[in-house]
Amino acid sequence: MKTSKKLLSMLLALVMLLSLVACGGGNSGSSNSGNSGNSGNSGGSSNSSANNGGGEEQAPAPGDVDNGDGTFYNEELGYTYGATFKSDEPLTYTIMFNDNDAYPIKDSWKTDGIFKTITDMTNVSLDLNEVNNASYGEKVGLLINAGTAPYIIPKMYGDAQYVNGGGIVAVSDWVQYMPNYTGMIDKYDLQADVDLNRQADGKYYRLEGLKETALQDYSLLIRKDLFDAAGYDVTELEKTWTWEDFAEVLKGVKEYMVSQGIIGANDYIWSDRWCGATSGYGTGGYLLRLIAHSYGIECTWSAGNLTYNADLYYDEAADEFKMSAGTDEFKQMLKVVQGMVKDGILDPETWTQDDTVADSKFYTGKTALIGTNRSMLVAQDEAVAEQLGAGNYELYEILLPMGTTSYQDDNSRKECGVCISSSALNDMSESEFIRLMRFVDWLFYSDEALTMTKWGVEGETYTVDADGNYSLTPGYYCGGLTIPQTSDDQVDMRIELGYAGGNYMYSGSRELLASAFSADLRDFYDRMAEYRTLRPQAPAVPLEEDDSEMVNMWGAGFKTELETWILRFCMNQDGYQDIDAKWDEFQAALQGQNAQNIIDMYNNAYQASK
Amino acid sequence: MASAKIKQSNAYRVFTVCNTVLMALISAVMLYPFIYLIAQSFSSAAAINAGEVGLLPVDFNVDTYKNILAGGEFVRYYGNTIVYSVLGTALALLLSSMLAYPLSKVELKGNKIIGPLIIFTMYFGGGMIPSYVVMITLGLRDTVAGFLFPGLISTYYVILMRSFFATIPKELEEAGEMDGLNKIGVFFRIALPLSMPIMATMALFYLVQYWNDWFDAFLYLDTKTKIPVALHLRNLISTAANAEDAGDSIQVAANIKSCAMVLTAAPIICVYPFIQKYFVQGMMLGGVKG
Repeated sequence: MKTSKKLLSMLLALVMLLSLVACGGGNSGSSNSGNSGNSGNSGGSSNSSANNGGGEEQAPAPGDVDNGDGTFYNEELGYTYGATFKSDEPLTYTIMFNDNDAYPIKDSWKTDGIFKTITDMTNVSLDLNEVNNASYGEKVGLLINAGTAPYIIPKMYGDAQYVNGGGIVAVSDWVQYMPNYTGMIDKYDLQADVDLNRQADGKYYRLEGLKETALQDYSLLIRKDLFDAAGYDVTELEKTWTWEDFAEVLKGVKEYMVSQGIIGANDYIWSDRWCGATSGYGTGGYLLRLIAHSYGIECTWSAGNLTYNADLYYDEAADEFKMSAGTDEFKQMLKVVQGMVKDGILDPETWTQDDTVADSKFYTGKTALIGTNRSMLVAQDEAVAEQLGAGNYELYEILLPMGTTSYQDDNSRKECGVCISSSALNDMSESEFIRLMRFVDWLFYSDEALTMTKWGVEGETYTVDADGNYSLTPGYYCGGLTIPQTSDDQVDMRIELGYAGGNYMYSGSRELLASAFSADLRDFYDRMAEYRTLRPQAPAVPLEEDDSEMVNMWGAGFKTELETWILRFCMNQDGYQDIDAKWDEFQAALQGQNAQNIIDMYNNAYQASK
Repeated sequence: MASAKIKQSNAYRVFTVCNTVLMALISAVMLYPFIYLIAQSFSSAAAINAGEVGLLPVDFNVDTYKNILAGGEFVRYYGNTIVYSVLGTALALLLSSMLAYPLSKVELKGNKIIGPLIIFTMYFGGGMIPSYVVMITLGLRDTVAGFLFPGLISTYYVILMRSFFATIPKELEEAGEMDGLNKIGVFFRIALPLSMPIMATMALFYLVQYWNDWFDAFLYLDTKTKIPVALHLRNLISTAANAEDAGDSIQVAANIKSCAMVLTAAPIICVYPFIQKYFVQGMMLGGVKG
């Protein structure tokens, strides 16, 4: 018995040892592949070092010949790249595909639609790995971590979690071979924005969508008919109104609604969506973010980076990060929100209710305003029309009130992006990999492909008039471009042919981005451009992995504490009505959750990264 | 002899009343979501948006059910679920019992090593990524087998079965062997027929497991036409809840979600009252006689 126990122990020890050896082997393998990637890049090494420092410059690959017309020809592998891409021989690249339930992929996309067009234009067939929209992020994570991801992985909202695993390529090592991408960075002066995505090793791993301008997505949709009837000309007031002014206007609108018997004196006229815990945006949601940004600070649901956890904002004058919750602006913001709750304007259920509850209050005319964004606008209009009847209301998307600044909320000129699986680098020679990157460059950053993926084929699915206005040909309408159906014989271009889908159309000029907007939306963006300014980008703070983990750990407790206090103030809870009286206690509670440690760690990392 | 009724004390009566009221309240809380779901599934989207639907449907209609079922897609996923559940349950019963039976024999050489090793897997798994890599290395990606295999043997169920098999009198098996049966014959001709209670219970366990399993389908099935209804339902719900992709988001109508949920849960909900006693029995069968 003793002998068998000893044997078993030895066996288990051996298994553990072998496991460790196997793990070690895996690492060395991956570092080898990393080395091969680096050596593969040696041809452009001087450029890549330049890239790590900042500027994205172009470099020729072996066999490149300039055609002189914005295109180049690679004699070694036989393909044209640049403004167009065309391979002499048929190529097949594997690619992830986010299959959206609103417009699920159909066979016709491959025989007549977008994928046939891509093949016709480039001689490249895309081998799709289709994943449902709801599972996409998780499946991508699985495939990257398992090392089995397709070469091209679009629609990526983050990459940091895959960097250490070596599953994706440091694309910044290869952008010198991508003329459209680098051209777009130069043209729209996006280098500083792109640099924000660099990891601790100075490289970035995701080719983000690049936009000429940041278009404010979220705003407030009001019942203009009620505001007009209450005597407020919002089209004038919105140009300069502050949150305090806005609250006064809302009080007047409420008085009018009560006087007309539309609501009772105890009812609220603003009950919002995207703020409750069930909305997926976290406590406070979009609303506190919008308000905070107008004060030049951060609050909850902020810009998807690590500072989110700590609500840090960048103080340009002091050149350092500070805690938003410690500022006078933060106090002012809380007072504005609490005041609206106290005055019976803003429904405190905003922070607890489900989005659909907020929707139903607005659709049925019980409230006078609600949050909106581009993709919700049309649906909200239709839902109100269904409840109130067309012609019985007027909706208007307002310019957000100002805090201490005239900043609009959105300031990012980037979108979700594309990652390249390390398997591509392992499977291909350097020249072949550069060819893949140039195809990606064409598909996601060239004017030709961006227009094609959005509008289809000129003459077949769309036309452009002399003034540069795009319109679909008579047989088509497109829900994705918010172009409504006008006759029964029309088909939805996105559903039938796959254009205007979410997998490709990220980047582009302001003209292209706004080319499909309705007149109302164009008007909204014109007003935004005239009366609001773009908030400066905070610099990137590349934290080391250990620091990142530590900040996350501190941040979790800090965030909970902060959100608890925010809700107490905003919901006007008993004992928290006097914000000034509670302020010191609030600050002490945050300090007790490592606030200063988080600030110090960020600032140290920021200073070190300079 | 006339039976004397046991007199209940006042305290006991109060306790019974309180108990009943409490249980009724808890039942109502648990039932409410289901009733609300059913009411929504028979209501119009407009009524749901207006927040008018409570316990009873508003604008009663079966259009959503008709649309869902007419689309063909849902029916296909439903069909997949039925095939996977039946096939998976049959295979799982076969393999689990074939593992549990020899383990129930104390004379099995290495039993004391194999048993703990099997139990070890209850506490420590290989992890999602390594498991996934193993499956695709075996060529099981996007295959029905890839979906079925990970759930074929549940350690917990094997332990329950092993405990049951251990209660079968040794003399019966020895009699079979004397009549010329080999070990496999004894298993199939004597042990299995005597183990119908535990087999029935395990069949139900495995059936529910496969019916509700969306995660293995998410991992191993790539082709849309192969997915089971549970994954389809999960996608529907996640799509509505997923706010990250707001720029390209879709609004799944509440009545469509409700219908899909009702249709998916209905078979199990209908069957559950009838099979509940087997679930309880199953626990007792395996648990008490270990």
